[in-house]
Amino acid sequence: MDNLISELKQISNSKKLTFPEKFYFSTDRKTIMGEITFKEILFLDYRDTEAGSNPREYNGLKKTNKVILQSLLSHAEMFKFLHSGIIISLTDVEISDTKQVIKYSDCCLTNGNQTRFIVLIITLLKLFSSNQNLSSINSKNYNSFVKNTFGDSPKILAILHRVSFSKISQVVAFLKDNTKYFNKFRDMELNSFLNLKVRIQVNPINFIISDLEEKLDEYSVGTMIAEANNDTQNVRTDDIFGNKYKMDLETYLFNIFNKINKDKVKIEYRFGEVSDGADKVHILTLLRPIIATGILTKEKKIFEYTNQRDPIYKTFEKLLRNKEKADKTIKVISQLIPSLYTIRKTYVAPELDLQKKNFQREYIGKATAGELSETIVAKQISSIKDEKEIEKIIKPHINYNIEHIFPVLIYRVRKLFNKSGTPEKIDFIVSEDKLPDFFRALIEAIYKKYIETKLGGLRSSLTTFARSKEFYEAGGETYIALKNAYHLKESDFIEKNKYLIE
Amino acid sequence: MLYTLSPEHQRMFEGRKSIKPDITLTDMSKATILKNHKQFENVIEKNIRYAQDIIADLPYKEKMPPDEKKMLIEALLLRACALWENYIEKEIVLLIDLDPSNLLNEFDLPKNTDVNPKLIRAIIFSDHYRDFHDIDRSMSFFDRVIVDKNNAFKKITKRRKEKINFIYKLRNYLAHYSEFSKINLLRAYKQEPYNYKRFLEPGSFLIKQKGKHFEDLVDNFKMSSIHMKTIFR
Repeated sequence: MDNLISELKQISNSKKLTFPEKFYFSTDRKTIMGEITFKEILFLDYRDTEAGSNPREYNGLKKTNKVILQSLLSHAEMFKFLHSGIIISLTDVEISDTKQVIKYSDCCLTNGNQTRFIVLIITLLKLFSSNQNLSSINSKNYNSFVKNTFGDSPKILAILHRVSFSKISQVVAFLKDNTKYFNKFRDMELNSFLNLKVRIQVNPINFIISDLEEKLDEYSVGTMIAEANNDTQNVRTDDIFGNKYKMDLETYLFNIFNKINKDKVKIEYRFGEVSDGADKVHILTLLRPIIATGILTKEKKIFEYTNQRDPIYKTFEKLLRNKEKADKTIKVISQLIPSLYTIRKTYVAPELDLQKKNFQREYIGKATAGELSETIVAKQISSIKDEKEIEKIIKPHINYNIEHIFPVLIYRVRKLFNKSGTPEKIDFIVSEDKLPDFFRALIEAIYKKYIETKLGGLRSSLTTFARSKEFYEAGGETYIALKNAYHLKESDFIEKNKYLIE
Repeated sequence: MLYTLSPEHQRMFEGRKSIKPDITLTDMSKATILKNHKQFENVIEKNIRYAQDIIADLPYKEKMPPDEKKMLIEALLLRACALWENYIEKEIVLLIDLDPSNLLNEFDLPKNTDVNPKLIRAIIFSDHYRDFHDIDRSMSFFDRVIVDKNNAFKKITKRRKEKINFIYKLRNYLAHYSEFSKINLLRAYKQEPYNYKRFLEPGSFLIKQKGKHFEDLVDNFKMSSIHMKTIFR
């Protein structure tokens, strides 16, 4: 095993691909096709490289990936015929005279990333089980195995870092539950497995862009290829947007957030990309409440857009395309983002958590006292015999989605944001000592409306309600009462800095 | 027959020119009973919310050391038990007041005795100390002094009564720290639904899982009150 591990480390650092047989190299030098062994693809880069960035992370043992795993275990020899092959983009390609070696500077695995990760997980589990019992695997002994085996190879660790232990344990659980595949896995010889071949297409970016009329850099071409390769697949809009606009988002919208939260919170541009246990926040979480402030859209569009990811991304896409014209608004948004995130983290999330328990008690009490006769659960409650059943009926109606409630809260208080004397900061004009009570009262009013509507019977879906003007009116009276009690003076700051995206 | 309104009833009808003819004295007494429930439920809810705030480590508050949290939570549990006892004492009096015939019979008093809540309280509590927190143990007394149709204690379910008994094991240990109370509590910990193998100080037990046990046990008092109210539905 030690020899094999050394070989894998050497391959991962070599910046070259070695083919067992001659590959096809077109006369225009722009197409390379051939077959390559699994061990050559195990640690190929796929994100944020000069050769482009693949918008997809490994998404676990979902339907297609399970089929790939099954086929790798039960029809290993047939695999290259069952699989459509992988595609990679390379920069600074140099082709050996033998047409069996390609040297490069950067690589982006644009298609076949899921397959690569499954091959990698099988390899890791085989290596793990060569010294330890697979059934004893846990996060602690897995991490120490990785450290002991690959600790001296930063390149390999960077790729392994992208596969959380939960993804590894999905495969272990699958093997445990399926004796047939477990036996195949147990009997498999790792070296032979890693010498299995897969078809590969290589896009040599330096050759591709050499005679393009349009001047494009290697990264743009690589990313364009990666996105096109993934377009027909089930890639999340989030991942495509995050991947495409990462640089702009970092430079213009998340710049102040990153300055404030440096090393404390990592922004996730693609789902699952931050898997080291650090505090993370997804781009949508940061962008969504901006829509609720109304700084980018017409009033009536706020309700409709805030709870739909596509219009949110489209709005920001248009905003970033008009960076120069919308410069003032972009600056305000970059200041609003950390401020809104603080409100969410400090007040809204913990308060919702507490209020959920309060409402559960309240409504279980009401159901027991027979006070929910006008609701959709009345019939169910009247027919139950065991009081524990009441809890089971009520609890789902008290559950909430913070993404439904938080935007309404921000919509409600948006006129309380004002320009600050401190640069790169926005003031929220409620004094800090009053903030807990202020937000508690508003959240309670909005959350109550949410529950009452659910219990009253939704006319359509909960999502439709969450996007309705009716829901955005929740907390209105409470807001007026608080505004008067605390003598709050509304500001037109957001209104003045509006940039309407049609 | 001339009735004198209690100060509570007087407050209830303050500002009215007359008592509406459709409001009977039984309605008034029931309203007082429901008020007793409401007050008790509100104060228990406040107790739970205060405990949750302590346990939650809210980001905008200074973090409280675990030992302080445990002490406060234990104190809140003792307070909840005291509130429960106070509420039951009031409840018994008010339920008897709805129809005092059983009480008069139990204490060999003339059937035409003109009773009111104050007198009922005096009859029940003045001769010796009575404590009613253990509902099952007190049930035979309740049966003797409260007429069956008004005996709201019958509405408390077995599950609720078991939880009350458990919380009193915690309370007794906190009140005495005696070996006897400790053994009793450990025995209760070992049983369903907790199934613990070793003894845990009440504070540690109550703040576990973001205060889930505290909430469940103290809310049980409130839920018992809600169950009792259903007798007047």
